[in-house]
Amino acid sequence: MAAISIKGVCKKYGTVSVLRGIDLEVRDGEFIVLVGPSGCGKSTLLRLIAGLEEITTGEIRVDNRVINELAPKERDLAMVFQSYALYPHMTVRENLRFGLSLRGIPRERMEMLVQGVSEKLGLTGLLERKPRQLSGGQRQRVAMGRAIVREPKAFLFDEPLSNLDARLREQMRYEIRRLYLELRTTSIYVTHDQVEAMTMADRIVVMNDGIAQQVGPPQELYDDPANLFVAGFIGAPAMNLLEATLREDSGAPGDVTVMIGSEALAAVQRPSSMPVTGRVIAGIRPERMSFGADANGIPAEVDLVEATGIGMIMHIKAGGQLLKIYTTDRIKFRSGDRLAMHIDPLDLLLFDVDSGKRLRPLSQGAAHP
Amino acid sequence: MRRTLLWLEPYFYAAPSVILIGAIMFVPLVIGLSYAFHDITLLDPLSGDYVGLQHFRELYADASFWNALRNTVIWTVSCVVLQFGLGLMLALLLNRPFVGRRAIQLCVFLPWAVPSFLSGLNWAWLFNPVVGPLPYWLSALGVMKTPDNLLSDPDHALWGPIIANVWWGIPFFAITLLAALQSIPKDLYEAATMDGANAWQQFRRITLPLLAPTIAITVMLRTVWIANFPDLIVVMTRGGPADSTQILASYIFTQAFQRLDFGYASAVAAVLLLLLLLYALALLALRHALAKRG
Repeated sequence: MAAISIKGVCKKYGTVSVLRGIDLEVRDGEFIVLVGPSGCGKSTLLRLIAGLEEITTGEIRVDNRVINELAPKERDLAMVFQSYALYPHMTVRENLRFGLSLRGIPRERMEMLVQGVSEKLGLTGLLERKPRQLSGGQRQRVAMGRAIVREPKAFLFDEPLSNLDARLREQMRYEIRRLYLELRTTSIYVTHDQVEAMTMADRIVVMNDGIAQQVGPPQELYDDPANLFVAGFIGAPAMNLLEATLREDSGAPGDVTVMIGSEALAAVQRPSSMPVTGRVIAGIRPERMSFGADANGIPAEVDLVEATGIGMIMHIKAGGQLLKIYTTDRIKFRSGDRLAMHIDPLDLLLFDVDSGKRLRPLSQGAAHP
Repeated sequence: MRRTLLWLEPYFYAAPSVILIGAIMFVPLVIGLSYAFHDITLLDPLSGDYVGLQHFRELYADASFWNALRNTVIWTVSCVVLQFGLGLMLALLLNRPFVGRRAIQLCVFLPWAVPSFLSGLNWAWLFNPVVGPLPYWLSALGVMKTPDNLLSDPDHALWGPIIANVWWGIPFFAITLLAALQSIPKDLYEAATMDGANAWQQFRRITLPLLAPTIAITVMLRTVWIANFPDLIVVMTRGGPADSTQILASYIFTQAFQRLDFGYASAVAAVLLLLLLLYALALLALRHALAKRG
C-alpha cells in the first residue's frame, strides 16, 4: 500500500494539452475516483501514474519516491483495463500467474497465491478455462484477480465496468467496493459514470478540460459544488440551473432576492462578491423542491411527468424556464396542471455567470453552507 | 420413389458446382497421374503404352532424381526459413508507428508484384559480373575471392535462386504477419507491461503465441509453393551447372519440356505430390497436437 502524490502534472500531445496542472494527494489506503466526461484527461492521468505514458511536466510520487522515470514494472502498481486485456491464449490460472512468474516467485508460493485469490473471487472452478469461455462478469473478476494476486502498492482501474450491462455493473460495483474494504489497498478508479463515483469513492476528483474541478468526499461534492461544472455533472437527475437575477430590495438587511423572470424564487444572504450585472445562475437539486396545489408559492405549470418507478420526475415551467422536480410521492399531476413550488433558501446555490464559480454568502466564507 | 427424390434433392442443387470443381480439379489430376504409369514421349509415335511401375523403378535408380530431391529440401528449407525470419522482422518493424509508414508498406509489397520470370532475369543479371554489381561488392566485402558469377559455381550456385526467391517472397510473410500483428489488441501489451514483462518476454509470451495460427498456415502454404516453384531456377540456371541447382520441380520441367518425356516427368511429379501431402498432413497433425496440449 502506498500514498500517491501528484504535483503540477501536465501532459501534452504535440501542442494539445490534455492535462493542465493536476495536484492531488492520494492517502495511503484511500479509494479515489476520477470522474468526468470523455476527453477530460482522467484516463490519461491514470496512464501517467501507471507509466504507460510519459509525463510532460510535473511530478508523481509513490510513497515519497519520484516515479516519473521509473518503468511501469518498477512502480509496482496493478491496472484493471476497460477491455480486461486478459491474455486470450492463456487459461485463467496462467493469466493470474503471469505477473508472478515474471517476478520469479517460487512455484509453490505462486500456486498458493493463485489459489487464495481465486477463492476470494469465486474463480476456483474456472481456473482451467480460457477467457473466451467466460462471461463478462467472470472476465472482470479474472482481471481483478490478476491485479490483486501481485499484492501491488496500488490498484489503477480504467473504466473497468463500462463493458458490462447495467445489472452486472451494479453487482460488480458492490463487489469491487467490498473487496477494497477487505484489502484496503490504495485505489485510483476512473469512470465517466457519476453514480459509480458517488457509490464507490472515499473521495471524488471531478475533472474537466484537463483540470481537477473539485476534490472531496461524494456527499460534499453533491451538497457543496465549487462550480457550475461540478454542480451539473454530479447528481441524477441533474441539478436545475436557472438564469436568475439578484434584486437588492428585500426586507432583511444583507439579503437579496433571487428572481427568475418576474418571479421571486427566494431571499438569500448577499454573496461575498456581488456580480455587477446582478445576473447569476441559480442551482437547486430536483429533490430539494417541494410543491403543492396551494396559491402561496412560485407559480408553475406541469410540462411532462416521467415515472421512474421509485419516484417521479416532473418537468415544469416557471418564470419562462424549464426545470425538474424529483419526488418519491405518488402524485397525480398531469401535463398542463398548475402548481406552486416552494424552495428553502438554504438549498439555493448561486454561481457566477462568466466564471461558473460558486458565489457564497458573505457570512459563510469559503466553507460549508 | 418420391422419398428417394426428396432425399436426393439437395444433391441436385449442389451438383453443378461439384461437377465443375471435379472437372477442373480432379480430372486433370487423375489424367496427369495416369501418365506416370504410361510411356508418353512427345514426337515418338510408338509411345503411349501402359508400363506399370517402370518409371518409378527407373526413378529409384536415377541419381539425378535423388540429387534433385536433396536440392529440393535445401532449397525449400532455406527459402522458407529466411523468408519467414526476415518477413517477421519486417512485420515487427512495420507494426510500429513512424512517419511514412504507409509508403514503406507499399514499397515492401513491391517485390511480390514483380513477375517471377522478370525477377529471375533481374537477379541473374545482378549476379553476372559483366552487367551486375553484386560480384564486385561481394568480392570487395571479402565474401568472394574474385568477382565471379555465383551462378556458375557448382558448389554455391543454388544460393543464387535462393537469394532471389527470398527477396521475392519476404513480402508475403511481412504482409500476412503484419495483418496478424495488427489484430493483437494494444492493451494486451500494456497489461503485460504492468505485469512486468520486458520487450522480449512480451514477444515470446504474447506476440508469438497469438501469431502461431497465422505462422502455421503461412509456413505450410509457402513450403508447398516454394517446393513447387521452378520459375527462378529455370530462368537463372536451368538447373545447372551440372545439375547442381536442379530441384524436383525444375527436374520435372526439364524432363517434360526438354527431353519431352511426359511419362517420366509425371512420375517425378507424383512423388513430389506425395511428399508434399505427407508434409502437410504431418504439419496439421503437429498443430492439432499442439492445440490440444495448449
